[in-house]
Amino acid sequence: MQMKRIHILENILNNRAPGNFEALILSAILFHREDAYGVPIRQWAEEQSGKMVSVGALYTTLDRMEDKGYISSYMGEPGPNRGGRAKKYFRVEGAGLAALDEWRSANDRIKKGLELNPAGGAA
Amino acid sequence: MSKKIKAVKRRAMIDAFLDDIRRAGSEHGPIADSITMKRAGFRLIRLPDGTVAYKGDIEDGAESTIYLEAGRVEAIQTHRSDSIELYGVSGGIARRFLHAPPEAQVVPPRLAEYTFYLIIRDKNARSVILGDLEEQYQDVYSKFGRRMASVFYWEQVMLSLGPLIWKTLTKIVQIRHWFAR
Repeated sequence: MQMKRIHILENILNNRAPGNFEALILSAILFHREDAYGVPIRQWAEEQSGKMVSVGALYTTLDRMEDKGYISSYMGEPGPNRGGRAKKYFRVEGAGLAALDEWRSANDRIKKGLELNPAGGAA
Repeated sequence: MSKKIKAVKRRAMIDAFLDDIRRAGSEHGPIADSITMKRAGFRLIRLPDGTVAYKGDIEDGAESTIYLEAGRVEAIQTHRSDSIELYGVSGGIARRFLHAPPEAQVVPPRLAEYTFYLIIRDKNARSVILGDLEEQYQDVYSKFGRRMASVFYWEQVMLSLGPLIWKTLTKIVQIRHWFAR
């Protein structure tokens, strides 16, 4: 348990733990599986978060997650409705799944803490 | 002659010509008379594939291209803001096709696209982003029209400027940091 906490702390310090937006994008890629490219990922992220997601923010995050080893990408075929430009597909790697798990357990801990002390003051 | 009367005359001339096309024409289709076409404001152009065509603007923003073969009309394509009308003349029968998918002809605002050329230097990354935006632009266009599609595109450009510029700056800082080591 102590080791796991140290590991999470190390990840945070090394900027390895995913933020909320990264977790949202990771779950969007997992949701769309084989069809996970920019357009459905962005639409899904907007639907789930209720906020507008720009294409610039999306690709900046995708690039960063690829650098961290959370995801990998491959190029698809060019489409006529895209001006002959190819799609870039993404898939979640093992490190991405572990990061998503860490994010979820961190959120659970925060939630539990709030449940134990809903007033926010001294228990 | 006032501009308004000229425009009305020109419009009537084009309508009469289009009516000719719509009716079952002669065996080879109606002849595109160069004088009539010039008066109607069309200019003769040669397309890259060697085809000859008349191209011109009709009032209310629509643009027509009249494709010719040996001086006779082969097809007319009219672009309007909300639809594309394609007229074909073959085998003596004038046919009208309204099913031409508008997205096949729709192009996003050039200036907005160019903005991405300025801020994204990586060719592949730029191509993927522009492809995604074009796909969504065409989707919005088919549902809400050109104006809303342009608003959508420009909105994406404006919102993307911050993250993309920030990414470029952090990359420059990383490179400088690497050289300084």
